[in-house]
Amino acid sequence: MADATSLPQAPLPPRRSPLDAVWVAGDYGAAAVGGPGVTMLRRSGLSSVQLDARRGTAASLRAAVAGALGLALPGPGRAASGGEVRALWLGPDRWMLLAEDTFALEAKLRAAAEPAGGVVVDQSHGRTILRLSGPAVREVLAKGTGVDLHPRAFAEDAVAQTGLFHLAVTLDRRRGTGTFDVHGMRGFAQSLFESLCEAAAEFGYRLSE
Amino acid sequence: MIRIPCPYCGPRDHDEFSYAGDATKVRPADPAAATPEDWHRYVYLRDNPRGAHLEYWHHVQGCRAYVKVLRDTATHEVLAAGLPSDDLPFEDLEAGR
Repeated sequence: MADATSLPQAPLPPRRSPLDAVWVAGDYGAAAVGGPGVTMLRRSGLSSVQLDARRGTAASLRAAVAGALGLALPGPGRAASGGEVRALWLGPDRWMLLAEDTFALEAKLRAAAEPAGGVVVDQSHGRTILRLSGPAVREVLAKGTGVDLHPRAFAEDAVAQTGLFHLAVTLDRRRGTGTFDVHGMRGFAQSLFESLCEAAAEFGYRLSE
Repeated sequence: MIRIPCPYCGPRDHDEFSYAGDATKVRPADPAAATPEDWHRYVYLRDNPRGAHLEYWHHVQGCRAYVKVLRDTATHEVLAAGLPSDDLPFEDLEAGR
């Protein structure tokens, strides 16, 4: 039997968000003075690549990634940006790295990390990422998770894997006031989206194109 | 609602975790030498204490690490939590009873 890696590979069709079918740009919910409480947009064209360190290789993996991508892998509960790549801590010796598809992150990471003991798995097809911003974002997210999102407890570049409306998500607090990236499982994207819309309705929300 | 202080993630609701059993049970060190009684004790026999209980929880919706928790089964108070390799003050509590 031929080695699986030597089989000819047809190019993959472009990824489409599972929210394309339900997303109609516009303002919804309560008409809030001073604009909507929450603005949501889909982050598309992003590669999500998971990186795990095999036992005892975390230090060499950190050095390899720093050398190749100019990025220091963050510690527990933190995110770090370097160049075009953002890394989120997911668990002990485990990270999710993100970059624009055009950056060819998986190939670059594979070349740098595998010789250093890293395991690289492309998860781009399996994740849907929403960016939430606006004055009511924290209140909306707090309806669905027990994680303390107050800036004192959840500062810029803080990351939490948690349940949001009982769905597994990764929350990434971005720089700037009240901007969060919510990474959800693709198959649950519409449930997550509807829960967020219901939670945001009382503050008024905008779906950006 | 129990709040479990995950050593990696900080305090989280227990519904992010999955209960993973009694943490006082030790697998027989030499499987070949262990008797059926040893395996029976390790696999099946569990105390059902009222009070301090040492147990594993899997932070399945968070960092996916296993966490060792010392919990009071009567009040649900979490007395201590740490990594599976940590020694939690369970024996001290047992001795003080």
